[in-house]
Amino acid sequence: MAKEKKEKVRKTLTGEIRKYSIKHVLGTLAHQIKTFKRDVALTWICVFLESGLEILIAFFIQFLLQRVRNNDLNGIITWAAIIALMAIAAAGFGILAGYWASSASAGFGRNLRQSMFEKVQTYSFKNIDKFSPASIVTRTTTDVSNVQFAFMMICRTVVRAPFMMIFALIMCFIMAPGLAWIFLVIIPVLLFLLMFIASKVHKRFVLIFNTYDELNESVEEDVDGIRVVKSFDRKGYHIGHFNKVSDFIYRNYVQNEKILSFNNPIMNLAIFAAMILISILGATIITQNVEVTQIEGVISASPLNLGVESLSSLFTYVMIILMSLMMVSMVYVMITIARNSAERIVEILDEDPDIKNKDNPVMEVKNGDVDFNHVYFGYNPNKYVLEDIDVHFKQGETIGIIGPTGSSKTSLVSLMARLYDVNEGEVKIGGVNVKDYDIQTLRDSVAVVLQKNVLFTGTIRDNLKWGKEDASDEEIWAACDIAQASEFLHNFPKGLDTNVVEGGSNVSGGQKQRLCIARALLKDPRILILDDSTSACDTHTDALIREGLSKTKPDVTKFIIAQRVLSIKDCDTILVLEAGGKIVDIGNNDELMKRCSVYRELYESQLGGGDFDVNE
Amino acid sequence: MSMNKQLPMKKRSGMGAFKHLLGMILRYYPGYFFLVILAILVVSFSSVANSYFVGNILIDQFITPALNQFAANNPVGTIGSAYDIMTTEITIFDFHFFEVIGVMIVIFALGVIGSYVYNFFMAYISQGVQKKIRDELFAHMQDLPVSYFDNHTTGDIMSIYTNDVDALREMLARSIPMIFSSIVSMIACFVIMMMTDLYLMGVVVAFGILMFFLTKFFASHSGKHFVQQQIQLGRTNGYVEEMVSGQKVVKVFNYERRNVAAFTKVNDRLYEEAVKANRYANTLMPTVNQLGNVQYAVIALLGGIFVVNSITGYGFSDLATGTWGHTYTIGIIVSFLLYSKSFVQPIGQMAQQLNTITMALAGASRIFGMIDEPQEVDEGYVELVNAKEDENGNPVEVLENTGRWAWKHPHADGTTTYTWLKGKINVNGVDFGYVRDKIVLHDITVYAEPGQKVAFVGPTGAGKTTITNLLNRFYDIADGKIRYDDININKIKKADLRRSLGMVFQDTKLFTGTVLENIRYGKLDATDEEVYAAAKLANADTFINQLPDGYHTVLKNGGASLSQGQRQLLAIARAAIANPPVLILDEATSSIDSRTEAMVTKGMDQIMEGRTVFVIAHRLSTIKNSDVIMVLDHGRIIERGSHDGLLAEKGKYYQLYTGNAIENK
Repeated sequence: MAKEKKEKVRKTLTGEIRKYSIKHVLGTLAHQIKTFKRDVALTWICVFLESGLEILIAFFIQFLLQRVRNNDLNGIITWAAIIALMAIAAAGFGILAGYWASSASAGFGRNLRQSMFEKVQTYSFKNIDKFSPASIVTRTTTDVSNVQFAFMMICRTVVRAPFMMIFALIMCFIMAPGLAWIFLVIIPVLLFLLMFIASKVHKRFVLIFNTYDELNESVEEDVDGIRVVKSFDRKGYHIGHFNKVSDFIYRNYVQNEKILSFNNPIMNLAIFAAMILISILGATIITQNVEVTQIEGVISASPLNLGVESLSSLFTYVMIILMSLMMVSMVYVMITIARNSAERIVEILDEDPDIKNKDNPVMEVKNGDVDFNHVYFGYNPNKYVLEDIDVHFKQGETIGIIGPTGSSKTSLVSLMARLYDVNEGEVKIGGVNVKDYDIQTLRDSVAVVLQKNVLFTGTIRDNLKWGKEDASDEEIWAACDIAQASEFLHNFPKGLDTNVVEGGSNVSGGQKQRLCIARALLKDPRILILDDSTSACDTHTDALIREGLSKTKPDVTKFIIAQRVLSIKDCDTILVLEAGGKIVDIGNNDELMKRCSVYRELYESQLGGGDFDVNE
Repeated sequence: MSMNKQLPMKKRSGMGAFKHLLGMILRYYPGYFFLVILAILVVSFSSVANSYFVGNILIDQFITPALNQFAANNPVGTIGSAYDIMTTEITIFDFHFFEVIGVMIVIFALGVIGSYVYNFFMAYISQGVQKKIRDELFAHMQDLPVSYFDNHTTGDIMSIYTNDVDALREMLARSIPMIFSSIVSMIACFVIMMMTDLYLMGVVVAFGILMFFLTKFFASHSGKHFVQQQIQLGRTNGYVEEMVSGQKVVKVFNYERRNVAAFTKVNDRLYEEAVKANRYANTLMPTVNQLGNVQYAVIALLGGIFVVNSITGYGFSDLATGTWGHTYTIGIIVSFLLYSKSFVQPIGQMAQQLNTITMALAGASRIFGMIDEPQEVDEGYVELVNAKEDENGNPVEVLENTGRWAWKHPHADGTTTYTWLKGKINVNGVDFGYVRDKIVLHDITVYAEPGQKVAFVGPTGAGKTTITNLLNRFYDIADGKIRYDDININKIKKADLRRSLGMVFQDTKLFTGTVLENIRYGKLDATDEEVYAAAKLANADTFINQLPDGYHTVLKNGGASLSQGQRQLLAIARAAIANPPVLILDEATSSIDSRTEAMVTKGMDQIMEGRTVFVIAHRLSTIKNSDVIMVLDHGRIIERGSHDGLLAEKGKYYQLYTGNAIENK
């Protein structure tokens, strides 16, 4: 582990781990600006005008100062007014730029989140398994916020800084060509140094952000498992791990900050060097050529090549040029930080759903016949969890599936709703390969009540309507009757309007299971799959549910996965699986009792009525 | 247990949080902090010197006198012809000039070094404080009572470590030093303005005040919307989390389209608030910047008027020449234009930091709010120690691991007695409620002799898990007594009490790491062989060997790649290796099929031998052979006895057992 980690650190630092080219990342993200392109364009126009005005102000200041020197009061007033007006106009454009930059960046963030969320909706189970929910949440919120902020900076600063710098440079060349060459030396050197620093820290930032995930994981597991931590008295163990991770972040961050510490001194050095050079050279140029005048007996000398006042403008330009450079480097560092977030976003957007509709899909499921034709399936291609499954069921049959932990019962039934694709062989519903159906059509016809089921925030009615968007109350109650949920729902003061809190923790496990069954029934499916869906219900309720199903849904093919023999012993067909996903035997209860020792053993170990009622 | 995780996070006031942060800096990094302050002073001094040099020295002391000197030496010949153009041979590059340039270079060099020093040490301070806060938070969190975790969502707690500590980074690393240097620059600037000219200083200060109020106005408005934005961000976060966690259900129900529609609403609200918040924030910078330019014009205008009208100005540096008052020169005005920039710029910079600071302090108040949360009170003083037998069969404390344990019980009179850890548990007349007024357990009395197996059965919500939560003092009882080997459990140190109770929970929690590490969690110094043995006992060995890397397979996301049953087997192995005298199994085998369970039980029987076991289960085979079975309903023990005895009673247990209809209510 330690060695692997070191290797990973090294690879991240040397840049060997980098999935996407910057071009691809930027291309994918730029595509998301969409409707907000107008706002971006307007921002840039305003920024352009704002910076142009600012540069002109700096240029005009020397005229103002000349008037001051010449004691020309009217001139002073005129130029002061011009400058003040220009400043107000510049402020106006600046505010407008900020106005549109806000909507552009917020809109960009909105589009990113929207696209990501929509993309996640197209994911297959396999894609979902790849990302943890926590990671998808971080990516759609924190990462998008980072990118959004960087984008705003790009809109305002990245455009502004080069404008300002180029304008200022041009002005310098106009005013004092003899001086301006200083910048041609300083700018490239400074740019090189700043970029060098930024590129130095980038890779380590990637490393740090990856370690952040580890830190979060450490907190999440500790909080989630706090009872385990406390009962094993393992706080020292967790603190030790946490401190190690936080220490790693600390050391690497300090390392980076130390490198970044050179930014400011380098900037200051450049400013000071420019100042001194301009002072010396400027003084030379100013005093080179002078005009001596005598007005009303006062003799004075004024410089011709470069006015004393121009020095002030020049110094302003020095500041503008170098500040722009500083900004460019700051934004570069920020983009560096955002780049990692951007890549994590692109990863979501780029993930290709591995289950897609084929062209001209079949739009109707004719009947509930199910055929598994020599099916092989594995979550990774070189390890099958189901091997050579070849079973066939007719519409309306009830099929029980039983087998030990890890015998791939869930995997088997998942294939029918095409939650996963088979590796070899085929699964047919109604005589058609599931891969040929329109996915929505197929899943509307094959209702799965998942083992790990959830209810969502909202009322119970909202939750049940997942099965049928426009279900009437009668339909809902009918489904609840079959699922044995009506009785306890009537006991809730608010009935169907009872609110479910996040995770459904305010209804008991048994109630939740029954609601989930009702929800699936509302789909009016051709095939119904109950994956250990009554485990928290007492045997009596369990029996009533099965009875209701066979009475009211005779044409529906029903698959029941259960731990209890009692739940499946009356099924038309019982499939006995063993660890590794192989079928031990298939038949009805009587047949299996006769010839299948595994089944008999199970039956006998549970003989005597089975389980206790653990739920009300 | 129905917990509603809706308690808000505790908070401390923003000012209190700020003081605490500053306190941490001073406590942990006094030397570095001193150096940083010193460096900031040097940097500010050198940039003020910079402005002073250009205006007052370069122009007024060198260029202008040189020009005047030249004009005086080359008077224009005839009156009327107003001018003459000349190429000069003036040089200002005398010794004095280079002396001044030399001094400036030294000052600048100091500034450069200072800015490096301050950034360098600030890196240690800001990162160090963050690390300290993270570690302190985490360590503090370990001793928060279980009820804290019941009342707060994992997401809420995690966001303290991520969003809140992160928000702090910007403030510590940039905002605090920037504010400090801004203030220093402003003061330095103020002093030098006072030295130069009081009238113009008045103008600059007036603009400064105007900017201050503008900043305050915009910041308070944008702050309001930033808070709104955070709230909406939280909502979006919550929506995505809930839906993505249930993504498989979404797929199964073809809910994608409706899901997107609902998300769009939340997302659009967030967008709107983000736009508003940023619009206010983005207005501030150009306003403050351009106000600076207006100020520039005003100073030039006033300065011009002063020069033209030969008005006398006043500045404290006049005193150096012995006369109070001076005439305005171009040099004074140029310097002032630079000062005005230096004075106003920090205001703009601080304005820029305001949102960062608002958000950081909001985060900090949540951070310290959590640190202020009271920890579990542990007044226990009885310890669990390794022991061996003396010649009389009494326990004697030893340091090495003997595999036998004793309670070390210090008494008020200074003596210490040792009692063997046997695993006898007496619960006597216990009442308990999670909330004060809502009692969920009534008058619970349970006696478990060492080595006995006690089972709890009954419907969900009957209080089975709650009883076990009282044994390990996750919660404290309202009334009654619980004794462990005849010692009141309140007297036992919590950590020692919990170590002596092996818990296997209904909801299995595994940690990121290898299978080996997860089992070893029960006994950190266990050898690989011990781990394999425990896994075999729990019947987990078979499936572990089928995993890609066997025992070295890395489990992620709490073992999401394993089935629920497989996770439970690992949890049992983890408890088995800990080898505790008392085992509490709370639906520990609910997801394991009966056949596997039968095998686990065989192994468990081995571990359970000679140990007290509390078991909660709904499966008959799990509890049938218990010494005592307690039937609970609505927080009361309604029946107790052995399996056969209870069947004969034909009460609730009989009903449960025969699977007949149950009257619930």
